[in-house]
Amino acid sequence: MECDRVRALLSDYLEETLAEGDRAGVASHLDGCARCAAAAEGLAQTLTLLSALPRECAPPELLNRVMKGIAAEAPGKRGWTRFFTPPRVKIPVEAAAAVFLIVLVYGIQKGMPVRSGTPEGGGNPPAAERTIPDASPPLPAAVSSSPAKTAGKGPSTAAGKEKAARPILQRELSRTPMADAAGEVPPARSARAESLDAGPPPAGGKAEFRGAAAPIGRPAPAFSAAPAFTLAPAARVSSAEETIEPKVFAAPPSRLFKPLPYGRDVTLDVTPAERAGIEGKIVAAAERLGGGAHPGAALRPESAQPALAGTVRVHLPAEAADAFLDALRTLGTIPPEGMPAAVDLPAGPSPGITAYTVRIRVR
Amino acid sequence: MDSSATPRGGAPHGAGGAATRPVDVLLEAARRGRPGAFEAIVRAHQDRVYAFCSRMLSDREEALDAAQDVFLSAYRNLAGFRGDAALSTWLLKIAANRCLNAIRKRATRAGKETSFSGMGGGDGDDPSFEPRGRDEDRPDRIVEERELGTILLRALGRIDPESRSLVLLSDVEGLSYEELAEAAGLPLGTVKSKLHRARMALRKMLAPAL
Repeated sequence: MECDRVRALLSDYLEETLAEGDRAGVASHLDGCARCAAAAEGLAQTLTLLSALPRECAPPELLNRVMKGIAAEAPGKRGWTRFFTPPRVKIPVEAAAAVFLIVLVYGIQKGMPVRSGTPEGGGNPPAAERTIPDASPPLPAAVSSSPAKTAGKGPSTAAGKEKAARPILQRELSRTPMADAAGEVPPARSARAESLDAGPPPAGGKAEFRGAAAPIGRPAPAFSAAPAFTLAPAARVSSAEETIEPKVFAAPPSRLFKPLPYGRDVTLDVTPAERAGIEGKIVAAAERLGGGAHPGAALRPESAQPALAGTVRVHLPAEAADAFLDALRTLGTIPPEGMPAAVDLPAGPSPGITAYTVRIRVR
Repeated sequence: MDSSATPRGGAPHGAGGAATRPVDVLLEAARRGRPGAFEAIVRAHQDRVYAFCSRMLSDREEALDAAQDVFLSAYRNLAGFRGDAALSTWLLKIAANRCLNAIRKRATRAGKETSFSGMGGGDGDDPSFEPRGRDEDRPDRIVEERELGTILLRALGRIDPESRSLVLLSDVEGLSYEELAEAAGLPLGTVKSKLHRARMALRKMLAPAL
């Protein structure tokens, strides 16, 4: 047995935990190797010294300090701090708190709190909202949306309009745009091509689509980029002939480089005497039609400066869009340049929902 | 109060026994919040724990703080002690971890590297092994010390903290290899080889005085 091997086994040899063969080999080597024998003797002395080290007594204050520490950790006192002392508890608690704070801040910024009175009741279109500048120029007039003609298509009374609008709203909310497009849309000309024709409507008045024709050379209004794949409203089904009007389908334009559609702009001229409280009346009109105010509008101090112009944003069921214009006319005057263009184009945060931005002018 | 007061149930060896050992009764009472029960446990083990911390840290105040932390940690985790090991073994395991953490923090504060790479290879009896450190820590200077105990403690302070912990737990406190492996979280073979290298290093440092 070589010296290195023997020295590696010296601890086991001295503790008598070696197998008999190894023990005999080490013993015979130590008999013949003075250097290894000296190493074994020195190791034995070291172990003896270690085991004979005098034990140091604890100072008296140790017991006092321990018992004071235990008293300080009484259940009442450590009930709160115990959540932050062991790392295995502290780290998950802090991580959960951080996630909660992030979600809370994100929710506040996105307007997650429940909006009462809004038709969609859930999703918020903040991105679309941001794309609509308040100082945008008046929108071009509709190519062929006659208020008189559109007004005659809805229910005759406000109560009737509300009754008709609410079920439709519920149905529209439960549908997705893709389902609409896949289930009912025949291949047809694009909405823009249809609108540029500007010709007379087909016989029987079934083709109701009138697209928004943006003036050439001028930037198109925001709502002109609205996806045109939403179908004609279900209320246009002729009850007498039980035929469905031909639908117009156009692929939605890319939203990558265009602002998202938010709603239709309409200008309402009021007199200074009519100005006070006009926002509330507009919202009330929307609510009668099954809609409501946009939460952003509700946050504004209503009529804080009644002499100045204001803006009110409301959401409505798509079927009540025309009726809402009629209601606005009872509150003020809609100038020709203030009429929304192409009221039969979808313009809202979701299919079936139409958003109006009513800009109040004091004349 | 002193080491002789260590209950039999807390002894390093022969800890197995009936469930009615005094230490078990004390533990159960301490778990129920009896104030005197844990005090009795502290009284029975404080010398052993403090001596271990003192030898590990070589500083009275640090040892006092460490021993206090050991007992407070034990008090908080009494429910987790299942009695598989002796109570003293459990306390010494906590003390070893606490002292090693303190040494790491101390090294971080001082910005020093406390690793002892010379201990890492070979069997510790390598003739090329030369303990590094201050001049007064060298073996030829250690010879000048009169008392072997002081020399041994100084030599203990020269080996790396983990090996020091193993030597103290094994050769001073009498823990078995299995208990060492469980306390250090290392395989049994690794513990035995590290312990042997540490002993041989101590022997080499003590050789001029022996």
